[in-house]
Amino acid sequence: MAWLVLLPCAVVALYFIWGFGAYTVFLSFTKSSFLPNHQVVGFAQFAALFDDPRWWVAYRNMFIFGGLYLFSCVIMGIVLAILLDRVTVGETIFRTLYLYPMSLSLVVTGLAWQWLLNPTSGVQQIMRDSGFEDFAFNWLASQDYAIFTIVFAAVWHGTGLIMILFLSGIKSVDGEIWKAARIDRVPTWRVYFNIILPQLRTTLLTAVMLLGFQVVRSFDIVVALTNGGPGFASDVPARYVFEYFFQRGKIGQGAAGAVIMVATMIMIVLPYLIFEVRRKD
Amino acid sequence: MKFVQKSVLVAISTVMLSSVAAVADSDVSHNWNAENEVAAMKVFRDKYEALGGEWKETTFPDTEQSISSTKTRIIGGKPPMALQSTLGGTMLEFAEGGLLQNMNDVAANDGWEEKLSPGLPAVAKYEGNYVAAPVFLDVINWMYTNNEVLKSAGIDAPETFDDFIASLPVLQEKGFIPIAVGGQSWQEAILFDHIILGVGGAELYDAVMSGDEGAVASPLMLKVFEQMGNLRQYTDEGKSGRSWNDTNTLMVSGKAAYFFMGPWAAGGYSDLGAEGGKWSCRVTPWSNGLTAVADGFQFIAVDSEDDKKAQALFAQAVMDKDTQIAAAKAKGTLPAVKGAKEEDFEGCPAKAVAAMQVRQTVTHWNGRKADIGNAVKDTVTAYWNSEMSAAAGHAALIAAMK
Repeated sequence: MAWLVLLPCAVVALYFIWGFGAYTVFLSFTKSSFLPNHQVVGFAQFAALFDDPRWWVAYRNMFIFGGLYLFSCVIMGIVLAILLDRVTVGETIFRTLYLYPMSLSLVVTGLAWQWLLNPTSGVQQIMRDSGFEDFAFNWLASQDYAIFTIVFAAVWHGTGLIMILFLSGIKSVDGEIWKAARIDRVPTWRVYFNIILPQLRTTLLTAVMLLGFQVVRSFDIVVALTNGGPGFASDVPARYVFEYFFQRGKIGQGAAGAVIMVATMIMIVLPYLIFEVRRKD
Repeated sequence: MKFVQKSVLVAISTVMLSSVAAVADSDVSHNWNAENEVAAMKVFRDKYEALGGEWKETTFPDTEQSISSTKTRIIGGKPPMALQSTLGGTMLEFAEGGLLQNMNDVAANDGWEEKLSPGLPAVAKYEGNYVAAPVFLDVINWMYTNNEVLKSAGIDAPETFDDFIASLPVLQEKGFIPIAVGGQSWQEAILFDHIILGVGGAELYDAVMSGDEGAVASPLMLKVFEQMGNLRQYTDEGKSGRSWNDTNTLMVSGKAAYFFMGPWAAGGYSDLGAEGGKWSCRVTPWSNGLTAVADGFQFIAVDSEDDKKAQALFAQAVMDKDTQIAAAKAKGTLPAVKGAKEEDFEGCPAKAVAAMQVRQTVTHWNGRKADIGNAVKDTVTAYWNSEMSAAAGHAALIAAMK
């Protein structure tokens, strides 16, 4: 009777994820503008999407943000995990401190960083008021650098989780390995990099998957921190899709953006997933 | 598995086929939450209640959310009876979708055609039928000045575009922010409006905002972009993402000299006393034109007789001449009905009435097809926030408008 218990959940998941997903894909091929319209027009919405310079800015930002975010979170997460593993006193305190950002919602994270980075009231102004009059840190106001402020805030928020994932991985490694390494006089850093980390491939897979989804659905932090600005320089596909879908009354074009966004992510994640799963077999 | 497949199909088709609107909640969806806007709504509400209506409202922080909630509620079958918004692109889209109520009977009984100021009946109609009630006419192109700031920099409020440009470096030298601008694209587009008016007047503005390709591609528009590019250096770094209210605060607190914004900003200056003292508002001094847009209530298509009655009653209340003039005074803007006199108003709205007698009124982009406004906003925000050349900005506008 186990299936009876699982059924409601499965139905809900099918309906809300696959049902709505399929409907969005369908909408991207229709004439839908202000309201859903079921007249199929082929790839016209995709053509309109690809013709829009705003889309390309948002699409490029997904790679800049995604790449830097994944890379920084994983590297910093691993380094912090190793350092915590080495610490003999106060591990709990450090662990809690690094995990705190996780407990904040992305909206709060975005707002807090917006205040910090605002050139006329944040860090830049504080530094200037305290005598460093040439101090400049105005990335939030710069079309070229605004996207990196989102990376900062997101990495600050996400590193703790990755750190914990790796810390639990490192701790679960057989203690005999350490004893053996000590006898062979292997330097500590080599134990980590050549023996322990290679065993944590599954942890890495988990981390990359978790962060990858975060990249695709990055919306709230962008809205709170830059709202896609200055201009639309730090826009991301999720925000673009939202704006076209709900505010501009271009449902078809928004749906086309959503399809491209998800398709891109599948193209990147699927090969990695298959590779990792195959390796295990 | 068959069952699952079937239920998914049923579910999907329910979403797709769910039909439009039956029973309404008889509420009004709106985004009037600033102090003066709340006061204006109270005038309408009191009249509606006096006529025997039962007042219900749903308030949103901005118009996009109000519109998008209304749309969702229509699809869900429980729409509001009326939606307050600018009467322009969105109204046309609602009307094209067949989502608005035909109000011809109410309009005929109440004599809307004769009541409304010239030009406004057309704004409230779709294919010859009334679908909305215009209540206000907002003049958008205001220049606000902080007179104390100007005085301490030794500047008289500029009457010409050249004087305005000449005053900017002086203000910056004195440590003021010459132009207060926020970080949302519609705010930047309002600044752009003033420059078009300055360079080519009402004629150029009307031609460009009608999507006239010749006017968009003309050398005058290139000059508009050059002028706007030149203004980049005269604002502050904190502008990114800033709301119009926060931008207005820069003015009120004496940090900035000029602010280009709609009539809604005037309410923020009450701390500085009466208009003409420490602060002033002027309809773009360097232009023969003014840009205006009608604000009002779109009536959503409802089926039940009770809802229709409530709608008719609400329409009657908001189109009552004295009520509308009282609400306009409370909000600090102009009523859509005829018969408002300059002496009925004081401060900025009085200036708007006076300007309307002598200037050419053109429809603001917010009152036109949504594509035009979006093209302008997208181009202007990309141009203003970058180091893009005027020629590139101009080319982007030509591409976006085609």
